[in-house]
Amino acid sequence: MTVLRPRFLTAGAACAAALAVALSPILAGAAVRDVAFTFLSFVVLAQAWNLIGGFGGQFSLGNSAFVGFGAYVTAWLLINFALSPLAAIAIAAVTVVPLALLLSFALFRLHGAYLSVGSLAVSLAVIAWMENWSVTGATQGLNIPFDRSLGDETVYVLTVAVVVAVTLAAWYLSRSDFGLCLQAVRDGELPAYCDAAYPLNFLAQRADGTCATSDADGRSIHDQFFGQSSLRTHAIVNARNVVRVRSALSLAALGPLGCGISTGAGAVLNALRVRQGASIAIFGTGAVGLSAVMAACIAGATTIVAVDIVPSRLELALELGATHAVDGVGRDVVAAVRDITRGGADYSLDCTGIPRVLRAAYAALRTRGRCGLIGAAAAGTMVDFDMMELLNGGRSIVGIIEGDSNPPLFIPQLLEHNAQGRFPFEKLIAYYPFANLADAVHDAESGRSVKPVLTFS
Amino acid sequence: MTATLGVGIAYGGVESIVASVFGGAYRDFYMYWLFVIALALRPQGLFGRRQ
Repeated sequence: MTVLRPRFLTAGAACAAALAVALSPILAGAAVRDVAFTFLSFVVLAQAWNLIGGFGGQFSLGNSAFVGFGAYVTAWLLINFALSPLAAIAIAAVTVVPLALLLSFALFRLHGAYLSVGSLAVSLAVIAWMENWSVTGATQGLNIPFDRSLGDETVYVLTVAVVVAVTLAAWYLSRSDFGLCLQAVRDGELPAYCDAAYPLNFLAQRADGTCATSDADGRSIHDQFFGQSSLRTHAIVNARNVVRVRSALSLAALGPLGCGISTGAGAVLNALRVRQGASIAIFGTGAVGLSAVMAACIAGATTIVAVDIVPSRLELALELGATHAVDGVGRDVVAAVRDITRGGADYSLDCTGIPRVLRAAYAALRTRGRCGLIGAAAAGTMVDFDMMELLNGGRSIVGIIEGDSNPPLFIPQLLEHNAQGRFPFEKLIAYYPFANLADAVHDAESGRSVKPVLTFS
Repeated sequence: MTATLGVGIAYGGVESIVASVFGGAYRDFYMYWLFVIALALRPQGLFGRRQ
C-alpha cells in the first residue's frame, strides 16, 4: 500500500481548496464572474511576466508585442474564417511562437537596461506595423463578432483551466534546466558562481550526468574536469565553452588563459577592482600571482609587493612590474609589507591556499583594506584571525573563483593587453613534450617552471 | 559626444530616406527595427567597448 507523505497531502488539499475558490464564481452572478475573470486574466499575465521578470530578473517590455500580435491573429481568424474562439486562440498561440523565436535572437543578446530599451522598441515596432496595416484594420482595429455560444460559465471554466496550466508550466520551468539558467541570470552572470558550477567542473561530467567518452569496455570516462580535462590530444567540449580570440600567439600559449592566468588577472581587475595609485601585496608568485602582478600594473597600482620564498620567481615578479619583492624565508612578511606600504596595503591577495599565508595577507592590510583569497585548500581547512581587527578596521576578506571573469569577454581583453605589451603572460610559460611529463611535474613542484605547458606535436 | 551626435544625425538621415522610399506611414516601423538590430549587434554602442 502506498502511503502519502503529510506534505503531499497538505499541498493536495491546498490545491483542491484553491481550485474550489477559483471555480466558485460560476455559482454567483455575472458581476462576480466578471470580476473573477479579470482577476484570473491578471494571474495569467503575471505568470507570463514571471518567465523573464521573475525568474530571470530582467525587465522586458516586449510582452505586449506578443500578446497584441496574438490578439490580432485571433480577431483576424474569427472575422475571416468564422472559426470557433478556442481554435482561433490556439492557432494564434502557435503563430506567435515563430515571432518570439525570431525576436529572441536579437533581444536575448541584451540584458538589464538594454533589454528593456530593446524590448520596448520591439513593442513600438509591432504597434507601428499594426496601426498601418490594412489587414489589422490600421488605427480602427478589428471588430470581433459577438459570440456567446460557448456560454459564460464555460468560458470561465476554460479561463480557470488556462490559469492552472500556466501556473503548472511556471512551476515546472522554475525547476527545469531552462528555469535554473534564468535564475542564474538573475542571481549573477558570473558562471563561476552558478549553483551548478561545482558539479559541472569537479564531477567531470555533463550537466545531465552523462560522459562524452567511454573506454574500450564501454565504461564512462569522466573526461570533463573543468569542462575539458587535460593530458590528452583531443577533448569533447560544450560549444558554449569555446572562446573566439584573435592573437598572434600559438594555440599552446593560449591554453593557460582558461584558468590560472585569467584567475590572477581577474582577481585584480574584476573582483578587487584595484584602483589607480593603490598599493597591493600579492602572496605567492606562481602563474596566478604573477598574472595578478601584471594586472596590478594595468590597473595603475603604484606599490606592488610580491611575496614568495622562491628567489627566481621574485626576480620574475620584479621584471613583470612588481615594485618590491619580499622573500618570506626567515622574515616577518607582514611587517615588511606594512613598512613598504607605510601602514598596510590597500589590497592583498593570497594565491597559495596556505592558512598562515592567508592570515599574513589579511594582517598586511591597512584600515578598510580588502584581501582576496584565490588559493584553493582542502575542504575543512580552517583559518583563525582576530575578529576585532576585522571589525574595527573595516577590513574584508573575499573568496574569488576564476577571477570573477566572464571568459568570452575577459580573455580577449587580456590578449589585447598582451598585444600591446602590458600583459606578457607568455614569459611564464615553459613548453615540454608530452613524453617529458614527469619533468614538467617536477619543475612545477620545485618552482623552476612557473607554467608548464605540454605539447603533443 | 561627437560620435553620439554624428550617429543621431545619420539616424535622422536614414529615417528620411526610409520615409521617402517606403512612405511615411511605415517610417517608425523600419526605424525601430533598425534600432533593435543595432542595439543587439552593438549593445555597448557603435563605438564603445564591451565591458
